[in-house]
Amino acid sequence: MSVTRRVVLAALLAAAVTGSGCAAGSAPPTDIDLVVTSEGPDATRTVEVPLGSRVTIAVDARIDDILHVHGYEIETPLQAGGSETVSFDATMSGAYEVETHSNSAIWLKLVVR
Amino acid sequence: MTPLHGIASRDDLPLPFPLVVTGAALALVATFWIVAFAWRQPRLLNLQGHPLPRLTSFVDHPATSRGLRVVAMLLWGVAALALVFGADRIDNPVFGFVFVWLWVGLVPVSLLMGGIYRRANPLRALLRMTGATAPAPLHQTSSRLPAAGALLVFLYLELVEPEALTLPVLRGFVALWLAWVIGGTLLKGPRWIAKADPFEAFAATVARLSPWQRNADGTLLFVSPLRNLGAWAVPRDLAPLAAVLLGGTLFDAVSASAWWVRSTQGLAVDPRLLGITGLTVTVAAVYLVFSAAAAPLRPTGGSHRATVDSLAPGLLPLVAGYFLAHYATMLYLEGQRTAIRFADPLGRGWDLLGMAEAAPDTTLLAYPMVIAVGQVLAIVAGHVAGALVTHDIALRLDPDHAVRAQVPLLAVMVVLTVGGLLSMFGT
Repeated sequence: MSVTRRVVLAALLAAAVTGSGCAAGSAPPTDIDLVVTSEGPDATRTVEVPLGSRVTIAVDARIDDILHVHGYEIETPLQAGGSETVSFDATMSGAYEVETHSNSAIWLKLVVR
Repeated sequence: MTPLHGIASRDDLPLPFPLVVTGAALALVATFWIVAFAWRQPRLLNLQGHPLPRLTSFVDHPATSRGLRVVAMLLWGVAALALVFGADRIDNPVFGFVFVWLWVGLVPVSLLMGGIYRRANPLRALLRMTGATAPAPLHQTSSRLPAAGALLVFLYLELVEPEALTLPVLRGFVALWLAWVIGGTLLKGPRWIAKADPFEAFAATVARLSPWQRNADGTLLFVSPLRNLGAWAVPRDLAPLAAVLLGGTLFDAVSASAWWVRSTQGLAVDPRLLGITGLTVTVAAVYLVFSAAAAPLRPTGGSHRATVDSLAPGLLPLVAGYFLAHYATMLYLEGQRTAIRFADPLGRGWDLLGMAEAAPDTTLLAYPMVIAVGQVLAIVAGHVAGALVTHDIALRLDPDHAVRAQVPLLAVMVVLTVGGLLSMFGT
């Protein structure tokens, strides 16, 4: 491969990489309030999350259940009448569903970019 | 219809629109260039490449074959144990083994290592007594329709069946697969395996896109993937096989789209029936459109089916590019998760190899732009390779009018590519 091609390839790669990921902590935190009921949500709420943001989901549980954040594979047991906080760093880009197991209800779609 | 919860725990971000436009433009420009300026005599007819006698003796050495089979049987064996004796939970590694390692994994493995699946196929090892482990014959031209049908059944399991990730259902389909391949071999002989095993047929087809091929005396050659495809003595019914593979990946995108969810919500029809219909219609549409576009290239006196089959290799790079674009990140993340879950295959709380508490590496997912560029490159590269091979095959079928007669086919490929890119842009 000629020198010119190497340089062009390196530049493209650098451009692709710099236009992308950032370290955790440099993005603003995301706070979400969620009320978990047995009927499930009217519609799945889409939440835009900056890549690297610290996500905190404050859950007000009306039923006993398990809250599952897909992708990050975080499972938190919920107790009726109680409140739980789920916290994690959104270091993986993509779209992730947050659901409860008892009714397979999808409460949130976290879009991390 | 409730959204299906597959093994994938995340969705890739939609492609940024400027990237979609760039990709579509590149595909279009490359296609125009091929029609206007590409070579006018077939160049990819003969299998020529760099002979590799030392690699051949290594690969063909009995110890290598035995070693490979032992490793494969071990992996499949643990997965089988997990299937039969494991816990019916989503973290049973057999689900990841089937839907990630096997189904998605065989594409990059076959692209990189050629016909390795046949060597490692556990069913061939089980059927050793019937001569199933003999080396592949130079030309295998018998019909691939049984494999196409079996792949369609697997696609039903993967894309439609809501209970696919439960042990009873998976066990049922595994039993069906074993009966299909083993039963068929006992009735019809070991040549049935290459015709009917869905995974081997898929892997062998993708292996034609690899840089490895054998010449007439069995020596491994390092060849250009285009030449590997172009010089293929195509098996019968390759076109339906390619249509199933492409249609399946397309339907995966369609059934996840907002349009499909909106149209099928509230319909009082069993989701299985809806899914089967959608899948079959998509596959049939791909085949029919491809078949119609190939019609102008039929040589006088030639059969239409044979023409369509001989042009089918042009679709395969699109299949591979599309497949990689859609499933590479899933292989990366869920592939690692499956490996970790093998620390406790039976769900008893074991910790084999001390892996149970490991977390997958997620570095790639912190660079969504790299992922997006990679996806577009895979699709565009697949299109360009497919168009070049189509051009070469067209020159053989109709030397005088090929350049114009191939335009409908190339147009169909452009539509598939641009459609594929757009489907990854909108949700």
